[in-house]
Amino acid sequence: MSSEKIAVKNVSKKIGKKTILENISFNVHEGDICGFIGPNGAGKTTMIRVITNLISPTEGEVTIDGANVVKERKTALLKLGAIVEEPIFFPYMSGRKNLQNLAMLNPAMSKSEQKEKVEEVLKIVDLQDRGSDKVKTYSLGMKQRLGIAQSLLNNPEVIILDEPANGLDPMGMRDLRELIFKLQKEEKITFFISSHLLDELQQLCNRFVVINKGKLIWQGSKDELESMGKSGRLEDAFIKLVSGC
Amino acid sequence: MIMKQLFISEWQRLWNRKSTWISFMLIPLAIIIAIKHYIKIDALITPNSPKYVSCLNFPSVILGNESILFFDVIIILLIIMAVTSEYRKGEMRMVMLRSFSFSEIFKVKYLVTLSTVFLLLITNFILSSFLGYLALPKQEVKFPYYSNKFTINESMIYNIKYYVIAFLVLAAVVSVIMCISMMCKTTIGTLSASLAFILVSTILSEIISFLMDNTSQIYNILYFSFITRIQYIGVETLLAQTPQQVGIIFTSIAFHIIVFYLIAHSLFSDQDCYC
Repeated sequence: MSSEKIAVKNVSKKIGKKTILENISFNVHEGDICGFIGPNGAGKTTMIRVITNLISPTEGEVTIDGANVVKERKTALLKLGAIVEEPIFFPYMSGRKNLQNLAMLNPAMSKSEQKEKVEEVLKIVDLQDRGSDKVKTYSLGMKQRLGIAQSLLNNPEVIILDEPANGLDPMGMRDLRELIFKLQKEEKITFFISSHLLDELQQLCNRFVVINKGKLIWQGSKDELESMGKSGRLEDAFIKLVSGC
Repeated sequence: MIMKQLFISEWQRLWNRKSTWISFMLIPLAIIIAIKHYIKIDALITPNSPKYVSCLNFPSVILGNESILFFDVIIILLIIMAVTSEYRKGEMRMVMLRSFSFSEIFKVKYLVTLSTVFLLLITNFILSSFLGYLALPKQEVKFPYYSNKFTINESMIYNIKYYVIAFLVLAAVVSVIMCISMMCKTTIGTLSASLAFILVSTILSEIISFLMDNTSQIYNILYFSFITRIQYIGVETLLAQTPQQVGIIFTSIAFHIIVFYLIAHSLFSDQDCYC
């Protein structure tokens, strides 16, 4: 087991002639809730797609708990749960059925274990009562929670969330925050979360990775980042970093 | 074992869609409509006419004349649901994020589509045999390219062979449409390009038969290089009293299955296409 749960080494991604990511390196350690921030179009989603091996890096490598996501895709993804872009489910099936369908894809679990796991994760995200309803009837907050539930199906050591608070009301955001804290504390899960809601990330994360125009511009602890801004708000530090002043 | 779980998961998703069940339900409906149609035609002709339809030749007649186009359209819809729509809406990501290779995901999608087509084809065969037996005359009839009339056993064997070859041809159609869906990526694009493929194949083969000397070998190669021609004429040619163009037709079917499968597989496995 590695203490570096996610290791990104010199990753570049070119699509056609356009360079989306350029020589990015950073690590996320065990137990971290790491915020991944950058302005719109900075390359956050592309980076997350590279980490989850939805696309391959042009150069460099990514490892999850020591397993290379390109060369050892299956091993690397066994320990990973993720929501990329937005939690999308099969709308014609119930929340429970969606989870059962995805739980089936876990080779390490027997049928009865899969069933138990589905009920367990529904309970964790507090959706047992609505589990039998079709996903198309869910609110965005419920879909986000179901998204986290699906990411928990394979007992992951790392969860990657791409803009998880998008469209959530304050109650939904609080619930999500509490859920992430609970999972980090009780299940020892490491989180890597991209978001543009800096106040929200400030309450959640202990470390940050900042990118702009496809390049890494900063990484460090929350305290270090906060100390860069005048008011102690993340927003000031972020603007300072991105604008370079 | 792992592939089996992926297969069951994919199969469940496909059969959880109303559209798949509607396609399934349309089979008996289409058979009943066809039976009514053939009862009317039979009333105007004698059992010696090659157009006469009895319960003995009904399963192969309905597949060759009506159902094959229905199956082509079903294949397009199945692939749009299982590949294009899941890709466009991002649903496929939920599976791609699991510990399976893209190649395994593609193989399973291909197999699930093929298995569904197989199930629909079997249903078509059983229902057309059963409903045909109930509603159509039980007279012995001549089959295409045969001089004698068939007994029940002979006609049964002919119909089974017809469905087996039709399934192989439909496997070729699955490969082609999979390939089109990987190239087009949008629902409208896949639907239009697939329908255009069927239409253009039909028209081009007609033009070739109009322009060329139909006794030459080049003509036969060109004519049966169109999968739609094999569907409408090739199967009967293969099952004739004296089978014709066996090598050309099977080579064409195998070519379509293998080449288009490999192209579609390579496009699906290219991760940069999901950028």
